[in-house]
Amino acid sequence: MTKLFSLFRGQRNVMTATLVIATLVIFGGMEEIPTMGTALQSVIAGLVLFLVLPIMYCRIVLKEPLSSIGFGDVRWLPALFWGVVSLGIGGVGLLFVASNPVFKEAYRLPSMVEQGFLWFVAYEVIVVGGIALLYEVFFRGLVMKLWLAPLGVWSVLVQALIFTGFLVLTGGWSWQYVSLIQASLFSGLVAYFSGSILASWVSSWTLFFLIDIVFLALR
Amino acid sequence: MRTQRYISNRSRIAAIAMILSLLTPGISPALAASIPSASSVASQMEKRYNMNLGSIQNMAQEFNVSSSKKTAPEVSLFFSPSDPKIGAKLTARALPMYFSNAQESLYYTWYIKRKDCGVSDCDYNGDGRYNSKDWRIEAARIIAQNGYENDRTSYASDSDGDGYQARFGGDNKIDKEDYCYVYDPGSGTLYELASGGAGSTETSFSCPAGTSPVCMQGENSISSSPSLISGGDGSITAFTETAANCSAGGCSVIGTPTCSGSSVSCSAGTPCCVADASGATTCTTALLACSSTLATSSSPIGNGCQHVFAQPTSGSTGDGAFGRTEEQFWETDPNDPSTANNSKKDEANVAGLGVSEFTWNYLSGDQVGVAIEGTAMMPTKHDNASYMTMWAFPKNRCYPAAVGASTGSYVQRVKGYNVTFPTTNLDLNDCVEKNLVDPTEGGQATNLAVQVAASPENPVNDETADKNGDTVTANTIIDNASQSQSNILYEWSVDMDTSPRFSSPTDITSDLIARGLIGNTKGAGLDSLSIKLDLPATVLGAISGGIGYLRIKVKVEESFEGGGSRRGRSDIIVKFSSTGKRISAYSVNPVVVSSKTKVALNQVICNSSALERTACRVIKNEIIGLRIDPSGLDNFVWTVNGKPLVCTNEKMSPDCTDGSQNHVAFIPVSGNVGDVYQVAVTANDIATGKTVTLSRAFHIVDPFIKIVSTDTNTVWSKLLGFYKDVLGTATTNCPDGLCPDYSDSAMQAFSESTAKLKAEYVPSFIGSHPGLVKEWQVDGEVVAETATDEILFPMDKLTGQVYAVSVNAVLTQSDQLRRALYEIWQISPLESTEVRFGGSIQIDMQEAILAQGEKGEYYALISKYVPETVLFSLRMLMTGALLLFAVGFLGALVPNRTARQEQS
Repeated sequence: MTKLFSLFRGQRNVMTATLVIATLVIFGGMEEIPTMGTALQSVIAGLVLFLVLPIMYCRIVLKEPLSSIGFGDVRWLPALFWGVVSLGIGGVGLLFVASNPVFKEAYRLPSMVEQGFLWFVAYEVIVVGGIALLYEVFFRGLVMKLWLAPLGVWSVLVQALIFTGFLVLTGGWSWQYVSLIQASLFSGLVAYFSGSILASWVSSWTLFFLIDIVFLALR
Repeated sequence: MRTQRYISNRSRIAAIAMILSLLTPGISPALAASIPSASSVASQMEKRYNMNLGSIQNMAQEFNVSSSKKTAPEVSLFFSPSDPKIGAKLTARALPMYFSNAQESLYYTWYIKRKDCGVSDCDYNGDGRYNSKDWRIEAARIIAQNGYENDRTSYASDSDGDGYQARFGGDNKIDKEDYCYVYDPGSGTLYELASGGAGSTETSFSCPAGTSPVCMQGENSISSSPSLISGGDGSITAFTETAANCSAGGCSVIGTPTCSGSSVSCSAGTPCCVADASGATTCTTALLACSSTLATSSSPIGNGCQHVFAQPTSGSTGDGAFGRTEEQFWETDPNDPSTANNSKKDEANVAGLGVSEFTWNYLSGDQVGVAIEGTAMMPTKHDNASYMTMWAFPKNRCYPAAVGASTGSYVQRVKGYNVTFPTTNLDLNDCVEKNLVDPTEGGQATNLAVQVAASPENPVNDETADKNGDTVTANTIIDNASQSQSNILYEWSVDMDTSPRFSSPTDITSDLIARGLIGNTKGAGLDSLSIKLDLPATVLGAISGGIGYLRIKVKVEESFEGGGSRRGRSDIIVKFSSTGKRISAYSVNPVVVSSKTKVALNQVICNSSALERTACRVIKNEIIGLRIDPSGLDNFVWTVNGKPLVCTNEKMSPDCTDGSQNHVAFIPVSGNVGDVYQVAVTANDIATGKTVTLSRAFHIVDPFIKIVSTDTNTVWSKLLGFYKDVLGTATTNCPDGLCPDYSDSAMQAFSESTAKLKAEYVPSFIGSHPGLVKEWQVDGEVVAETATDEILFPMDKLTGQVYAVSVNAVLTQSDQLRRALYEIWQISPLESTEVRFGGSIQIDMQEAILAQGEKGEYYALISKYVPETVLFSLRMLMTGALLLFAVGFLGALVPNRTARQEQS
């Protein structure tokens, strides 16, 4: 409990907590411009708020190296271990949720991606990889490593809860989020034990890729 | 003995005299001396048989020249299609006339002259020239081959026996004497084609210079010599007849002499040479000798008959022999007697037997023709059963003068009389070139039949600046055009005159163009012309204030690919009136006179704009008063849609008069929305006596309200975009030819300002109608008017939000007016119920900051043209920067525990 309170004590923690909360509130409460595409707005806002802002905050405000938010050296052994565990458990979980018809119905890829291999590759590399990077930088880097670090391994769970709460509060519950929540939990573990969000990025990216492959094959 | 005989003779004479005296008891001695004259005998015959001298003279005059009135054979050519396409098949059809043969027995010698042909490529007979012989050869090949390709044909032998023996005058003229003639359409002379009598042997009479050969005749004179016959009781008169002496005078010219060899003869009278061949009475010089060729059995005149068939280089067409060399020349099948598969032998096809149609692939500049040989309906003067063999050409240009041939004559003795035969050495081949027809020239078809119609019937010119004159539209209809309407060239012009006879017309076409009252007057597909009758007095001249006439003329022309064209023209006269006067429209008031409900003129309506003055918009169950300025006018006749419009003082209005129409009338608007009442009034101009006709249109519409802003700085119509003016002309409202398009129902406004809105009624006069009730609403809340038809309300909504403003109205006619409708025009009160209408707008609130002032306009422009994506990105970055700043600022407020710990 003391550790929890410590998250809001001290200049660094107060500023980080304020930044995280304010960023999530701004992102979640952002009013859509009807004449502009929703996806495009989300991408622009995500790039600015989840990628640029944490980096700027770390470098300009805190004047700390980017390794503070996980852009540091990777400890590959734990990364590989937790990555495999993550994929293994994720695969089992995937089999579990895949039997749920609601999930199958909700989990959809763009039709252009489903019908063209090149589009699929581009989608997986640019879109999936890009979104995974955004989540990693903000939730695993800024939230988990910079802000929740005093909680130790519990920071993995807390950041996953924050992520889940953010998804549900902004978009409502959807079975499509199951894979994201699962990825946030296991990539948090990878990031925590490897000390780098680069490993967790590869881990979550791989998980997303496998999920898409499986569902594309099943469809 | 001598004495006895003398006595006996005297007795015999006396006895004869006695017998004569007994037979003619009533003849007096004086009467017995006169001989009845020819004229008196003729006069008695005229009376006896009721013959009119003038009629006989007329018949005789016609008879005198009847030999020159001949019906020579002719041919007409028709082309199908009339608009030949280059490379496509074109068929020329020949329609011969005045031949005694059936068409199948005639010889049709077709010929075709190609524009681009020369000696190098079209000298088919190898004579070093491209002439009519080659034209005939090409046509004959086309006919004889009929598409047959002889590339692999061997002409080593000829086995088909397809020779044909042609006969002069047609295929059916067997065993007859051949006499060929050509007809001179000028003199009416029929010249026999002869080789001996023509040219070399002119008939000449030995008359002195200045005199002409004639035959003269005079009446014999009879003179009496009374003598007494002795031994009788009376006397007997003896007569002596003396032959006429033309040398002494008393003769008249009765004809012309003929020449046989060298001897002159007259059928009656004496051959003479006189100076005045028509009125001579005296034979000046006796005509004794002449020179001419006398045709006899021992020295006949050479027959000049010749076919005009296409001829091969070796052999002859129509000689009955069609050997392999001819087959090769004509490129026919030597083993097929009818290469053309038309059941005629090849040589008959080359000769053109019965070939009344000629089909070929038309090329630009082609000219064709046909020479048709047959027997005319005219017999010859020869002593046998012969009829004239003649040729018909499309242009009838085949006579000596046309081709420069010589003429002459010969004399032949027929039935004991010398008959003169005019002759010519004309070569029929020379006629071919004179009778070429261009398939595209207008001669083979009639001109374009153009009709012009114009509407409206009684257009009115507006001399005023309102420019509300009628538009006269003239349309053309072409009955026989080969081309589509869009390919026909039209040229319009407009004349104006005070009289429909157009004795001194003025061409006002350029004036109309300069004033923009007509559009283009010349162009393809321009089949109608609209004239806006807004001619000012300076153009009208004497017509100003009166009646004038327009003559709208159109010339049309359709061109063919080959270069020919067909033309046509037509016009129409349109009567119009031009006056400064106009029919004024009034609202009406019901009045009660002697317990009768009537109507009276109230206020002028439809006069606030040029549009209203042109087409007055009215609503159903309204009564419209009509009036024109009566000064200078009399005898008014009102009509509505062509039906009489009557107004009486007794029944309708105190403004009207009984007995005759005056300058006021009323119409009840009882039609449906969309109907048009065309009101016309005709009156006599007292000064000129001419008729003046004025008209005005009333359109029945559904009333509506247009909400407009009275302060466009705060509320303005939304700009929907720009449209390009068709003419691209830059005007004040359309700079660079781009005209702004503003919405009527969508408006924009700044927040925190006051809207000032006004209701405009259509038709405008209903705004002052006493039976009008209206209600404004803003976002569903009723808003009271601050002035007539106006409201004010503050706008405090945020940017992006809207105000919905509406106004609803109910128009109810007064009971008295409804009663008038019923009593005067029997319109049931159940039909004249209230009318509900209204209008609405939406006001979008705008960002005032970005759009205020000159800088604001600049920013607004930037924000308008920069992509939203960029603006959004900028917005997010600024948000992020602000967030970082806020976090940093917060950090500055929060004590740095680490630093403090280090200090302690």
